Amino acid sequence: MIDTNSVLVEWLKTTATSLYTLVSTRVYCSSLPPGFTNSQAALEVMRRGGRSKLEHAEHAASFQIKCFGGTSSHAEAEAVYRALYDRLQNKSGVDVTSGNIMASEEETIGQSLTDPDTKWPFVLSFWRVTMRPKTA
Amino acid sequence: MADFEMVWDPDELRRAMTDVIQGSADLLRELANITVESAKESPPSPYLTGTNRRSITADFTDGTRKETIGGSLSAGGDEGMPTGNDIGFRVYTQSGYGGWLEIGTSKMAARPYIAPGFQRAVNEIERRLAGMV
Repeated sequence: MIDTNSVLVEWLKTTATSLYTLVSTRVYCSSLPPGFTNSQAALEVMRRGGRSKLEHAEHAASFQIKCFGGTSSHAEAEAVYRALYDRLQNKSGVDVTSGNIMASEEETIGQSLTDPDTKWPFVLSFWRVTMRPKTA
Repeated sequence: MADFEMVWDPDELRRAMTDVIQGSADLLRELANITVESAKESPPSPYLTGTNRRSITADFTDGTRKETIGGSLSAGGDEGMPTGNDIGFRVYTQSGYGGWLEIGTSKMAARPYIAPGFQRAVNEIERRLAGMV
């Protein structure tokens, strides 16, 4: 079975993208690491469900991705969200080491929210990403 | 040569359209109902006191009237509701923290229950539709 988390995280951590410029390798799955203080931009990626099409070894996973800007400004979180959108929206047929992204699409437009515990601003987004093992 | 006659009956078309719309409304009402019931099950619904679970509610509209599903009173308002003559529903909780349970916070891991409940409902409706074909 394909490791959907690894595929997505690998795609988001690819270097030389506007997303990488902002978050670098700070793409955390499936929760923020202990000691995270939102002093640098980051993504929190969590698979929340989806569907498996086992006859084709495909998985259409639904991911929740929170975009943190690394500051107390909503604008910075929005900038990370826009970079995430550019990286993930309407991508198809892309290979990474751990699998193939057949299709990716935002499920609903991002919501600007504030964490109730820390008051950190973030953008909440949901994505449908269909994947399969990489073809030889 | 056989005769061929085509009759255009606008009343028949209207009746057929009404049946289609009513069928779609029934299907979406059932989708809302199963979503609420699935979200209330444990798992996926996180459970401590049951306050959040009891407050899971759906508002359904068939374009002419609103119906509340789930045993709680509607929260009121139209946020997230279909507009005009559209058919559809919204699912929400009224505990005040149900959304944070669903998506998590910086101090608490997410425990999604509404999205998985909706997915279960979609799967169930698809099974029923496949059985009708």
